[in-house]
Amino acid sequence: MKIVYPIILAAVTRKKEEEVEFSGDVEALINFLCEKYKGLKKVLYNKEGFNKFINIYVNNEDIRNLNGFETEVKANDTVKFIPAIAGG
Amino acid sequence: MLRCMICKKEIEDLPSYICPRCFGPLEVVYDWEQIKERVSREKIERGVESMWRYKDFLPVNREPVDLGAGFTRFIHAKNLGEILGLKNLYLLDDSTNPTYSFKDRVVSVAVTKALEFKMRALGCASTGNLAGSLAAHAAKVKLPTYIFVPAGIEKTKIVQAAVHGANIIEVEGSYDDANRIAMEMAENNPDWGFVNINLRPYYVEGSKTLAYEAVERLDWRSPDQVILPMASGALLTSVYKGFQDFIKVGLTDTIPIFNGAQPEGFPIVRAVREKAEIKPLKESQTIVHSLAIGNPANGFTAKDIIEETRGYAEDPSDREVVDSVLLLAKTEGIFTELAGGTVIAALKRLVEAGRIDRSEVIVAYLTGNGLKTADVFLNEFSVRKVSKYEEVIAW
Repeated sequence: MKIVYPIILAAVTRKKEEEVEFSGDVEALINFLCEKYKGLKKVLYNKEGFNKFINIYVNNEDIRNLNGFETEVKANDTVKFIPAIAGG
Repeated sequence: MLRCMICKKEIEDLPSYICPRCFGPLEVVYDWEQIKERVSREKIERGVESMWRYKDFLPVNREPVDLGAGFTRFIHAKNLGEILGLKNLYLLDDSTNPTYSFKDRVVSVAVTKALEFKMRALGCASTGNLAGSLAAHAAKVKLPTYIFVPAGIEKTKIVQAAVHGANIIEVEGSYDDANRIAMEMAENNPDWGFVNINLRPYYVEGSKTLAYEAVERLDWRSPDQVILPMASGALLTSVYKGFQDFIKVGLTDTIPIFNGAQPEGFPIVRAVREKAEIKPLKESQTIVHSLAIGNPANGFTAKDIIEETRGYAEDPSDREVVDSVLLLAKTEGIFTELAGGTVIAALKRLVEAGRIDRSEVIVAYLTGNGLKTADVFLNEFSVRKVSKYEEVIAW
């Protein structure tokens, strides 16, 4: 599975994209990545929960239009973390 | 200097739009004591007849890229007011801007910043108006432009951008899909100025001039209520900031009640009405393409402002929008685009619901020219054909 990070997250992961072996839902994927990269959880979560200024896309579809954090991800999927504040 | 609107972290003046600590939106920080010393009513009144008469309130450090945006028509709409039951209805009409929409205000600031940052190309995601404006400004400064638009956009708007030489990329899907791809382009090309992405903190500042102009044209007082179209919510948020700016320097003393208008079913209105979080809208059928943003980046700030000022938001149907464009055209001689029709239709609803008092001073913002969405009106009239003078007389 391909994971794509924006520049700000790449400062934590030290890479803009990577291939990972994973299957499960988006929430489990995030937990997996937070364990892999120290400091990632601090950016992705705040006291209200998952940071509302980060959108997650699975195969270019916003997970809010799928099953949210329960959206299943598979081997050939691409998961992108994209900042929410743009456009207009 | 930029500052995160959420965690207040400050960062240097850069082409950047999100906080490196919390991903929150960035905004420009000003030295208000210094600005207060520099500005006065008289100085502004002596200024150029464009938005740049308010240069002291805008975040630029060089000669602006100015095609002449702003200081547009400000009309006491007596005929429309009479029909709606409003004595003091004013229209700020941005259809007369250089590329016929309010986007010239924001683009003028953003392209000026792009030159400051020595960027080598320009870009944006657009529902149409921004495309035309950016393409024109880019032509003026001789920079290549890449514009991402959703499939199904009005061809008249693409033509406008194309004649100025822009590279137009039509994205399968909605505006939000075009915006996502433009964001990925911006991420991977940091020396390109995507005006509503990595130049966004500066870009949105241009809309503040819509507040300044209303105050100046009302003889230096704020209106009681304003009504604005909402797409991403950035316009309403910036106009609110504009009134705040003038209070900070003593040029006015009140913030008006803020009302917003969106096409039927769109997220900001729904959230205001239901007092709920903003939930993105995946698909929509509206004819008001320029306001059709299902995932509004500034929806949360627009909603907060509407609630804080005790305003409201309305989402008229497409039919009401079309009827309102016609009503405005037939009463005030202004052919506004569908976003303007949305504003007038929403205003009508607010009056009918008793949310606006008959004697209050109201400013309704018309953000674009009706010729951009003229296709919608082709079935709204018929033309009589004749071949002889006698046929005209018989008719």
